[in-house]
Amino acid sequence: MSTQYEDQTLDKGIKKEEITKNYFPNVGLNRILPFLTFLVSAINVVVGVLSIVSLSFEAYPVPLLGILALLSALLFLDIYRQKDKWDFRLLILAVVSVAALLSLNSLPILWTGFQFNVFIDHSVFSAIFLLITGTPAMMVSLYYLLGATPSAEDVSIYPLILLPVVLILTVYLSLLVQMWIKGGANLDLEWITKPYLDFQWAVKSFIAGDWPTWTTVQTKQAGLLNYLQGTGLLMLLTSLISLPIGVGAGVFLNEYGDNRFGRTARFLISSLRAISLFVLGLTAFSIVFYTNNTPLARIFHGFWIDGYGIVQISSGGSYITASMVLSLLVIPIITSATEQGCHSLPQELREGSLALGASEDTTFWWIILPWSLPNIVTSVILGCAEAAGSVAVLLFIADRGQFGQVGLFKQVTSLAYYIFNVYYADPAFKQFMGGLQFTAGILLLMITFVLGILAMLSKKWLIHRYRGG
Amino acid sequence: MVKNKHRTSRIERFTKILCLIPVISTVLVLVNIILNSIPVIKIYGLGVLFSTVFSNNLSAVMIMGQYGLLPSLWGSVILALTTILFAFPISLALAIFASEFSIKGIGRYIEVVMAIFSGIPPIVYSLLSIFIMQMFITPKLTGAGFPLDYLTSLPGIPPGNKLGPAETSTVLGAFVLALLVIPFMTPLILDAIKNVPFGLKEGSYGLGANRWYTLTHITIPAAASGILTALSIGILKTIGDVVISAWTIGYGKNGMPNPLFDIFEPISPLTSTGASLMNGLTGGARSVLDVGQRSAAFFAALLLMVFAFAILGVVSIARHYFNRRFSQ
Repeated sequence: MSTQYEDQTLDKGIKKEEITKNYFPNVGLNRILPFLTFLVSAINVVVGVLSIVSLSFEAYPVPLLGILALLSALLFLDIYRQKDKWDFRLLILAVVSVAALLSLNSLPILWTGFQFNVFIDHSVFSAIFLLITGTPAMMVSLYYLLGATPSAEDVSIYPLILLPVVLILTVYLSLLVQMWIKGGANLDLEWITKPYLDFQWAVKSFIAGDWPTWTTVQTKQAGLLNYLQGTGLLMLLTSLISLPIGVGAGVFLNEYGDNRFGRTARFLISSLRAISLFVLGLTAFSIVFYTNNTPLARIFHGFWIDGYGIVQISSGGSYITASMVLSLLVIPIITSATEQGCHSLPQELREGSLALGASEDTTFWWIILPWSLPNIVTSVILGCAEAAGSVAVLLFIADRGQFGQVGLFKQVTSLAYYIFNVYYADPAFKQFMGGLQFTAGILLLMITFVLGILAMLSKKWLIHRYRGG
Repeated sequence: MVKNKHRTSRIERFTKILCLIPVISTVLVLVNIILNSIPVIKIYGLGVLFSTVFSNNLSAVMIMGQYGLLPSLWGSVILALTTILFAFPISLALAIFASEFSIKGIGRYIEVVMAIFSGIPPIVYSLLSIFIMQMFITPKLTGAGFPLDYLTSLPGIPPGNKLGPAETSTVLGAFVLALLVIPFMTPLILDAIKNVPFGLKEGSYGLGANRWYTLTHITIPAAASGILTALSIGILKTIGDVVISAWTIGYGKNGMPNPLFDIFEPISPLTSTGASLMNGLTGGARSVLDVGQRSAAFFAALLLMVFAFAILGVVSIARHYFNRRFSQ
């Protein structure tokens, strides 16, 4: 066989040396340069990422860029020696590296210009240049390191894909860890089991015969209990209001919605998600504004009974107002989930139910609803999480809840609103309650994480239970 | 369900009534916004609303009737652009990593993590913005650590027009909003990539293309309409957010930014401008007495709604084009 092969190739005029070179490439030596380039470019990327957050890597970018330029130029020549073709990506890389090096040298420590409202630190530029040159260099050198095959091209894409993924996950993780460091210290039962109270209670004790002492715990007390209770009540009310409406609307749109009314309704309900939360906040404000000085004020504004036993109408909105508007936010989620659930019901089940003599109602209650139950439960839980975290809807009607009262017709407040309110509050409130900001944030995060995991697990379990896996 | 034309069933009547509730309330919400934004047009006229002069009661000197919303409209546009610039490549990379380039099923974990992260409320992100401020903005963009004399002696920008260590900027808002938007965009892009018919990819592999070529030439063009939907969701969430933009960018911008794309200046978007017009940031809306000021906030909401529907319209046209172009 071998002699025959040699004869054929010799016929075509190819030299014998070339055949041996192609069949036995000098693997070790040929891959030293790509390996070195890969190593240096990886160091470039690491230093570039570290330069984003740190100021102490300013000595390295210039030599690193120089070495990278040199190596990529050498690799450019070496590829020509090996493959007999010019890979101009490497030449461009070398030129860009030299340009980056020169511009880094000429940039001042703080850059200002073009009337931009900023001083950009030198390290920001070095980070940008290192990442711009390092990532493509990593890709190209990995390509040649793995033998320049099509599958090597696939593997060489990994740096480009992995870098943003690792970066963003690190950012999320570091932010959550920072939050835990800042707010975890206050996370004990003492703050969670006490409501926030203001001086109103001192007046009450004065009426009862005690002398009000303004600085005692009774007059002013820090705690998050009423905010927690308020968040829970908002979640409960919102899900109670939005569950029947959302499910009913979803079933109607899927079963009977194939006409002009159905299409209009679908568009309007989905546009509830598209319009801003700010619009819903203004709607909540309008409800409160229009019911001002009317008999409905007790319901929509909320009220409390003061120390003299007189009913006082509060100035903002009540929990019922807030949860009505919040349910406008949650209804589209439940509607679309129910619609998807009903849509995925196999036609055979529906027809089988009707063929066995079941009425339309029976089919609805025993076939359609159980089938779409996983979607409904998941969307309700996610809607609860959304209601717990929403500030924009409560922005114009909520208050601090300084009387520590939580109920259907009390003034609305929640953990999320408390966090927002501390930022813009007067210095006294900030000094008094500001320390609990991150603790409230952690509580809110816990609520949303638990609800999110619960939604996933319940969907899995309910699909297993009602759809047979 | 098998439909009887002559008789509506009990379920149909019942669910129709339930369906009417959100429909009617949506119409009421829209009508309320439109009706309430009429007074400010009547009092001040459209020219005032589209001027660049703005003052609210958080300004140093409050002058009634100067509610020019053009800077805020521009702020919304530039905020959406900057956020998408940060968020879109990262969520595209996340989706591609989770679907096409995942190593031993890590992609499944990314889906789960993104689903849990998408429940984090905006207020938590705005609380976390102080760490981004401490880690990046203050040491890198404000010239912290240099004496003020040195900073003011630098050429280029006039003194008094420089980002102080405690001030905020559009970049910070865009960073934080990108963190909010990424968990919403990633699953949508992932779904779009996963829903590309397997025959298309299989054909590409069969003709000898590698994974990267298949991704860039087959999968992403075929998934373009789904990716556009994700993009529109990201933009809508960005321009509709109140809390993060109020917290990180500020209350209301007077005058256009000097270089028009100066993202280091706090250019407040429509939402936070409207919230500050309603006194929502400081003391609740109870102290709003002036009809014109309240109505200006409603007009900002109306502008926002028009903006949102315009984006939806553009995206649906583009999706129509892509669907026609890339499907048989």
